[in-house]
Amino acid sequence: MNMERIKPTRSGLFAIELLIAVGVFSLCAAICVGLFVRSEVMSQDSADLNRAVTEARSAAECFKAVGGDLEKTAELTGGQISGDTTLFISYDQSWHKLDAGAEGAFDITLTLRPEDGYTGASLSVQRYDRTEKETTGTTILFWEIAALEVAS
Amino acid sequence: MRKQSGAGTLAALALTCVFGVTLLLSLAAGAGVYRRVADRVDESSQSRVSLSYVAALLHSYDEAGMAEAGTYGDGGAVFLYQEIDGLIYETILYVYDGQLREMLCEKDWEQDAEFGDPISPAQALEVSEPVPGLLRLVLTGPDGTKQTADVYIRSEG
Repeated sequence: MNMERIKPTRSGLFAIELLIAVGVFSLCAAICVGLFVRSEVMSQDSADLNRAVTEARSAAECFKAVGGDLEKTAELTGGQISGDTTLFISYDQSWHKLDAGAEGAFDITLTLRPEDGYTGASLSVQRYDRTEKETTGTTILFWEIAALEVAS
Repeated sequence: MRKQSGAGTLAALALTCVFGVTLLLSLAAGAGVYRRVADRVDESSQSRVSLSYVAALLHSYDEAGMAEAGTYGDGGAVFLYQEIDGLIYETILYVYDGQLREMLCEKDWEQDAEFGDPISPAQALEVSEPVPGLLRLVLTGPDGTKQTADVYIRSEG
C-alpha cells in the first residue's frame, strides 16, 4: 500500500487554531455569565437586606412606642397576631405590605419574650422561595429588642 | 485540493461568526447586569439614605419637646429644636422643589423654603403622629415610590 501523507492546508490549520480560540473564549464567557448571575443575585440580596433593615426598624420602633403591646403594634404595622405572642407582617416581592394572613415573599416575625420589668421580643425577617411543591424559608435578619416601658 | 481549501475557509468563517456573536452576547449580558445592579443600588440608596438621615437626626434631637411634626415647603416637615447661648434654633427637614431640604434658623424666623440645603431628590414628605411619640415619615422618591419609616421619640413616649 502506498501511504501518502496528507499535507495540511493553511486554511485547515487556521480553522483548528480558531476552534481552539473559540473554545477558550466560550469557557471564559461561561465563567463570566456565571459571575454576572452571581452579581445579580448578590445585588438583589443586598437590596432586600437594606429594605428588611428599614422595615424591621420601623416595626421595632412601633413596638417600643406602645410599650410592648402586641395588639397595638399589629394595628400600627398592619400585621396579624398568631397565638398570643407572635406577630406576622407580610410583604410581597417588591416590599409592599400585604393584607393580614396573605402569603408573601417576605415576613417580619415578632415574638414576645416577657421578662421582669420589661417586654423583650425577638424580631426576624424571613424570605420565602415558593414553588408549586414546596416553600423554603430563609432568615435574613434577626434582632433581640426590648420595650422598656409599658404604655398606659 | 481547491475544494478542501474552500471548505476550510468556510469553517473558519463560520467559527469567526460564532466567536463574534458569543462576544457580543456576553458583552450585552454584562452591560445588562451592570445597568440593573447600578439602578438597584441607586434606587435603594436614594430612598434609604434620605429616610435614615431624617431618622438619625430625629434620634439625635431626642429630648422632651425638641422634635415635632408640622408643615413647611411643599407639605409635611419635621421641626427639631436646640438651644444655643439662650436662643432657640430650629432645624427644619422638608421637601421643596423636588428636593428633601434642611434649614437651620432661629425659631419663628420667617425664611423662604427655597433657601434650605438640598439633601436628596424627593417628591413629597408626609409626617404624622399615629400614637404619641411615634412619628411616621412617608417619603415619595423622585420616581414616585413611597417609603415609610416609623421613628419613636423616646423622650415623648
